[in-house]
Amino acid sequence: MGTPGKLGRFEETVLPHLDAAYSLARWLTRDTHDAEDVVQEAVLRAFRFYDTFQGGEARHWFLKIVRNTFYSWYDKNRRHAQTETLGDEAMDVPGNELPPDEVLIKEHGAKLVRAAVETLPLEFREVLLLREFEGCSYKEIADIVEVPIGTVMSRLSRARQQLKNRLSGEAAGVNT
Amino acid sequence: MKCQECEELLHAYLDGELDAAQRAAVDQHLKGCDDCRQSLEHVHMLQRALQMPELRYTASDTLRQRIKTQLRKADARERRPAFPRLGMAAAAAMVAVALAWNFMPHGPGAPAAADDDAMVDSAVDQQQDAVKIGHLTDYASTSPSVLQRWFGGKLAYTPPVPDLKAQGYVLLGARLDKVGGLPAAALVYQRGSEMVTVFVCRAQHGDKALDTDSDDGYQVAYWTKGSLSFWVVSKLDLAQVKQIGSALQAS
Repeated sequence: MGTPGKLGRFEETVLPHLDAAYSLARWLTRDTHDAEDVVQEAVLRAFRFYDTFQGGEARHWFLKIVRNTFYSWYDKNRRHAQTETLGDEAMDVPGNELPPDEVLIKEHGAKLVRAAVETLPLEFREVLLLREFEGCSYKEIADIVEVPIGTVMSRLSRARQQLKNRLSGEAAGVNT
Repeated sequence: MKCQECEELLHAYLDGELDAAQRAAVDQHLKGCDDCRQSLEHVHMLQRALQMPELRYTASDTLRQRIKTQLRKADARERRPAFPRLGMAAAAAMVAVALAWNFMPHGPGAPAAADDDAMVDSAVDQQQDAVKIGHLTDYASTSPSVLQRWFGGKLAYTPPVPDLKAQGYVLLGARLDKVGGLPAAALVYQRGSEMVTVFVCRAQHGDKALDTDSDDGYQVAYWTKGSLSFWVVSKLDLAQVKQIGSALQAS
């Protein structure tokens, strides 16, 4: 049941985090339109469940809803949507000490880095996004993704390892 | 500290997630180890690459506008009378209940209690909405005592969180919800692909024995005991839902 002022309070506490929500959805869906759909749905969900929001970090609460909304969307659309590179072990060799190639990154810039992030497996991508773009603490990430902190640490380290390997000159495979 | 150990802690070190002692140990190791210092520098490089402004996404004005419009609509919808889905007969019954309510003594602002049918309807509605938007639990835990603690202070009463392990159901978690406009605890159980949700809400009347109803493909067993009312909502067949209800009553 709508209570007076609910909309106003919601707009004040949750809507300031719309950019963060969109950014997360955009990185997860890898598509502008899909991201907008996910965010819109997430906002409506958040509004519906706003009564259950106990105060505290609205941003973190909202990002968790965005992530859950994304997964509902993903389950519904996965057949037509992303083909995930799961178990990308070749990219995951801990002994590979090739540095990320800064010259390569400078030349091809954002495009290269974006492609490298977007092709990370979802479970690694999401922890990386929450850490690097949203500045979430491990504890917050653990809560949003619903895994133990130890898992956050290991996923983050594997995400960075894979990213590093993708951005090393040899693996990037860019046509210059 | 060995290199392997340092490598394991390196990311937490960079992210400021280590305690002082661990941090000092990593610092110490880094001083004497070129390889680990290099690994650290590589991760720094990555982080710099990720800081590029071109990698920032922001919500477009069109999206903002769309969301504002949608929110206004959702808000208006929530403010409409609570039972638009009921047929005329039920609506008439509601009016009768509302009239009767007006002549009953009750405190100011006390939420209007709906009749049994409307409450069953509302519980099923809430469950369908939760399924539709994929938000079954606010807090996921398989432990009754953890969930009970989680409820602490969120409702005016502490709902019991029964264990249904003996019946083969695993607790998934709980959410705060509403039944007929009243704050309710919703406990979510699962057995295989079957879901069972138990709503608990402060009773609006005296004790009532277990009764059943069905609505929109859902079976509901409900009763009132002491100061609490219960609704077991599931797509299982009626006999099973009734059985869960009885087990809960006994617990």
